[in-house]
Amino acid sequence: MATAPSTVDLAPRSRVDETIRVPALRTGGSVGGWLGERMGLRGIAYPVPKHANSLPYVLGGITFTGFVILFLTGIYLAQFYHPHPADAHDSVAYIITGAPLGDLVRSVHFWTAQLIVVTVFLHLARVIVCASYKRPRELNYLVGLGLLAVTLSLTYTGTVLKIDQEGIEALAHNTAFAEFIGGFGAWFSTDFSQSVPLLTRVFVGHTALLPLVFLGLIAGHVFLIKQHGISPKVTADAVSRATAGEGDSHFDVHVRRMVGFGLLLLALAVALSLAWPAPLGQPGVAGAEVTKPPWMFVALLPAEQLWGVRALMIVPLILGALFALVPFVDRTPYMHPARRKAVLAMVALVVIVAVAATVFAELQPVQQHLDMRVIK
Amino acid sequence: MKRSALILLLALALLPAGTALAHNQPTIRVEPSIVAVGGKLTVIGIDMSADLEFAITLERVGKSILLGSATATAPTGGEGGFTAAFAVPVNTPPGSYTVRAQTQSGKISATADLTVTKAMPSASMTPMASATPVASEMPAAMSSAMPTTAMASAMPGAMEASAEEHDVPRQRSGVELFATIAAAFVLAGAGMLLGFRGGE
Repeated sequence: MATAPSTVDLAPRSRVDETIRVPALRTGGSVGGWLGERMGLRGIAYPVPKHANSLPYVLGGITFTGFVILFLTGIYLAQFYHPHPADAHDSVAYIITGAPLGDLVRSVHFWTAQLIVVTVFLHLARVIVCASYKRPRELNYLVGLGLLAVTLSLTYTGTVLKIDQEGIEALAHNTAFAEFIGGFGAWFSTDFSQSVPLLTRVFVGHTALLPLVFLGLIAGHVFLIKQHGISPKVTADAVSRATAGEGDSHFDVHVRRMVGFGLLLLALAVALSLAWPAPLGQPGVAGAEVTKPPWMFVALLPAEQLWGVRALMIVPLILGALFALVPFVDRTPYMHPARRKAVLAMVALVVIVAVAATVFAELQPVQQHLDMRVIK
Repeated sequence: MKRSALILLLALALLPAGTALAHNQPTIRVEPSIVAVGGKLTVIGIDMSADLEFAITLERVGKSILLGSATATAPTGGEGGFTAAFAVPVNTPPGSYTVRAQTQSGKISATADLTVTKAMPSASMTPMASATPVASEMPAAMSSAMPTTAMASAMPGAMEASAEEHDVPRQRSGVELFATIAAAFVLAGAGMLLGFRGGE
C-alpha cells in the first residue's frame, strides 16, 4: 500500500547486479544451464586470484574429494561389516570374498585413506611454506590442524575395525592409553559401557562421531576461506592480508580442478587396489604384539618404546602445540620463505626428526612394549 | 562468558573427583576380553574386603552360566582382591557377555565385558611362518610379561599371534577385471581433462 522505503528496494537490486557482474558458469549444456540457474551455482564463480587454482593450492580440495570417496565407499562397506568382536573379522573376510565388488570397494577405501593422509600433509606443508597461516587466517589454520587430527583419528579407528592382529594391537593401545589418562579416557575404555563392546563404540566413532566433527570443521574451514580469500601469491615483498573478492580468475575453475584431481586420485586408488588389494591379517590374538603401527603413526613407536604409552599422548600434544603456535610466533606480515628462515628451519627440524623416527622404527624388529596387564 | 568458563572449570574439576570416588567400589577386570569357547580367562578383582566370597558368572539376556567362585584376600590393613582363572564351558554360545562377580547376599557385585568367540577351526591353528617373532619365540623373560598370550598358546584351540596376511581367496572374473581397468582409465582421462585443462 504505502510506498516502500528505498532501503528495502536496494537489496534485491544489488543482488541482481551481482549476478550480472559474475561471469556465467560454464555448465556445458542447456540442462546444466537450467539446473545451474535454479540452484544458484553461479554463486560459486566468485573472483579468486589465478594462483589459487594451481595444483599446490588445490591440495585441500583434493583431500576433500578424497573424503567424499571415503564417505561413499564407507557407506557401502557398512552394509556388510559387523561391528562386534566376535564377528568383525569374519565380516571383513566376507566383504573380500562374498560381497558384490566388496574387495574392490574396501581396497579403494583403504588406498584413498592412505592417499589423503599424503595430500593433507602436503596441504599443510604448502600452507606453512606459503605462510597462509598469517593474519587474518590464524583461526582457520587451527581449524585445519583440527581437520588433520580428525583425519588421523579416522585412520586409526579404521585400522582397529578389521580386528586382525594389527587392529587388536591398536585397540590394546587404545585401552592402555585410556587407563593412562584416567577419568578423561573413560570413553575409550571397556568399562564405559557394560552393554556395548568397545569395538562397536569405535565403529560408531569411525562412522558417526568423527565424520560429524569433520563436517563441522570443514564447514568452518570453507567459510573462513571464503571470508578471508586465498592468501596472496608469495613474492619477495608479499604481505599477508584478506583478499576476498579480488582476483582475475574464478572459484568455479578451482572446483572443476578439485573434482578433476579428485577423479585422478580415485583412478590411482583403483589402480593400487588392483595391484595391492587392502590387506587383512590373521584374526587378532589379544595380548600379543607382533605388528607395527600403520606408516603414519610409526614415528611414535621409538618414543613409545622409550617412555611407554604416555608418549602416545605427550608427543602428539607437543607436536600439535608446536604447530598451533606457528602463527603466533611468526607474527611479521611477510610471506616469502627468505624472510621466515627461523620458523621454516624449526618446522624442517620437526619433519626431519619425524622422518628419521619413521625410518628407525621401520628398521627395528617388533618389540613387546605395552604393559599387558592393562590390556583388556 | 565468565559463567561458561566457570561451569567448564567446575566440570573439569569434578571429572577426576568422580573417578576417584569410583575407586572405592569393587571392580573386576577380565583378561583377555575376547576368548574362544573352551578357552581360559582370568578374572582379577580389586578394592574388595578380605574373605568375601564371590560367585563368578557369565551373563547375557536370558542366560547365566556359573564359572566358579573366588575369595578375596588382603594384605594387613589394605584393600583386597583376587585373581582366578576359569575355563569358558564348551557349550557356551558365542557372543557378548557380562562377567559378574557377586557376593552371596547380592549386595556387592562388579561386572566387566567379555566376548566369547567360536572355537578356532583346526586349519587356522597352524602357526604361520613369520618374519617377525611371535610370542612363543620370544625370550622367556619377555613371555612371562605376557600372561594372556602365554595362556592363549597353552589352551586347546588357541591361535598364535601373527603379522602375516589372512588367507582369503581374492578372485576376480575376467569381466570384472576388464571393467575395473576400463573404469580406472575413464576416471583418469576425465580427471586429467578437468584437472589440467578444465581451467580458464
